[in-house]
Amino acid sequence: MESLHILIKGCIARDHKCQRAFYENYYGFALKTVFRYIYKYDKATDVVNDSFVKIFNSLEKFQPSKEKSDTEKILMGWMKRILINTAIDELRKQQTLPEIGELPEYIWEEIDRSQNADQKVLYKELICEIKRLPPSYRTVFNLFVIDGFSHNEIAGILGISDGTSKSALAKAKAQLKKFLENRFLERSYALHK
Amino acid sequence: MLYTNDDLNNLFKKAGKNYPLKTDNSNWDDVAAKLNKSASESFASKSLKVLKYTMVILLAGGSLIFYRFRSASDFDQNERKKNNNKTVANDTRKNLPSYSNTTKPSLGNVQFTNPIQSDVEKGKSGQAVYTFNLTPVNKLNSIAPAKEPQSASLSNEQSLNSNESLKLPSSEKQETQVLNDSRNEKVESGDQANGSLSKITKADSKLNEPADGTIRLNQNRDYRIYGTLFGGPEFSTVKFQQLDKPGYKIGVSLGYRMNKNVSLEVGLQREHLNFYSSGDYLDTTLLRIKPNTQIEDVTVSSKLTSVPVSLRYNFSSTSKGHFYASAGVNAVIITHSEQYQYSISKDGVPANISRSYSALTSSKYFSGVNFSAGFERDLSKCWSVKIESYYQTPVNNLGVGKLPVTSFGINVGISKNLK
Repeated sequence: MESLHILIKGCIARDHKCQRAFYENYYGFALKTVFRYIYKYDKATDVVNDSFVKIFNSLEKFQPSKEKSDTEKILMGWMKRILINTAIDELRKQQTLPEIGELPEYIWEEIDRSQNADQKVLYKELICEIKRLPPSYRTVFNLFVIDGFSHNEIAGILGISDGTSKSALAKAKAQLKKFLENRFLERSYALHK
Repeated sequence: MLYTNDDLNNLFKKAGKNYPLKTDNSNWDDVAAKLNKSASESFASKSLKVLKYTMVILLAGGSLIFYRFRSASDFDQNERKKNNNKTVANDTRKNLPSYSNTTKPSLGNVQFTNPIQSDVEKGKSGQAVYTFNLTPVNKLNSIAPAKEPQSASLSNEQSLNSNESLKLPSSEKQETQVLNDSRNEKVESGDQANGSLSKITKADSKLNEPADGTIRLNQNRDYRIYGTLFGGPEFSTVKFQQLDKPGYKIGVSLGYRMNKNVSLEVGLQREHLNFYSSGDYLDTTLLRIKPNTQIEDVTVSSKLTSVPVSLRYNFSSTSKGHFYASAGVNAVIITHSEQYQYSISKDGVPANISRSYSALTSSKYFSGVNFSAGFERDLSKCWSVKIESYYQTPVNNLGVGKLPVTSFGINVGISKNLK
């Protein structure tokens, strides 16, 4: 944890080595966060890089916890907020552009036959299903279910009412439940067969 | 229902964290380029801010200069209007007054129908010199000796202007009058004149030289605005600890003379400071120093730009120049880059490290107070050279290490009167 504090200080002092180490360390977390909101992978990587520029420029404002062990959690929460805000800004910019085309295979890790293989396949399918949701439903679902924002906070971030947020969430959940039920039924059918 | 609401939420939470996305395509170069761009944009916006402040200062200074200049010219115009009313009655150059019959010309034997401002001053030879300042008039109506009022007159179109001065030396019987007007006409009259002008010639520059029996034309122009190019070595110290190698300062300034003694100057200068400090005075908040590292001392090399504003007072004038003193503030300081050479000790092991910092601190306003004193020698009407010693004491601390840097040195400069 002490190394994290040193890394943060280095980033504040604009040391490029520290900044690079910080970027490499948190890139995966950042991309996984942003990709849930942004449909296209290439666009998501751009948004991640833009977010890191914002993070480095405002890292002086980050206040680490006195408990050193909590610092990383707090830092990731702080970063997540910047990543999500940047992603939502990008969504606003490309609101008129249709999200077309299937997600290419090369963006996924190769899944070997380990213990978690099935789980990983399921997770991949779930994320793909989230990405098939209309952007407004997808954003509300991500914010509420995965990132843990309240409806009040979502309303503030997206500039919508609480009711609209709740309604969007309900519709998104219904669509995802349907997908899961279909998938379960398909699996059961395949096993019985 | 296969999934409860909570199950669904937990499932998607886990999926959101652990889904198998490829994350090995990080592109640091792109981020570094974006960071550099944002830093340069930030510097540009800072520069713009500084430019705005400088413009405000220059505009304020310019307005002051304009106001002073205008009020001075208004005053001149009012004076001219007053003097316009002082016309001289009747006759003209055809019948100038003859002083030949009088032993000594005096105010008593020159009569004016309208009041004319007159001064009496001592000539070089100790003789009394009567100086008449005549202002633009359409007609010089009469200059008549008391005893011969009918013969003293200057005729019709000829007129005398504001800079005209008439000196009448009271020397023996030979009197000469020279009248200079804006058209540089020279008019003399003597014993032989018998009430008329003896000569009207074009005046040349020699006429402006003071000489007995001539009318002086004062053409010394008052320059109010001047520019200066200056530079010199600069020594810097923190809390008067040891001195490091000297830096330098180079800059330009624009000055406005409010009156004979007081001037306002605004400058733009580039400084390169070198200074030493013990680690005790260093603020380590922004420094990239590992914890448990003790900084013994630091040597700093710093490049910065500043905008000094000062008020200057000329307190002692000699024939070739004048001494002056000035006081002012550093209105803006922008630190461009800093090189810190640390002597550190970690767990008792000494080491030296070096760090460079650029544009880490924002511009500072009114961060120092300047005092200077020197001598300015005139080279010609327009050009002068100056040498001054200066002392600058900090109000705000300087740079990433926030050190209270005091500077002093010598400036050598060359000034030119502009307007």
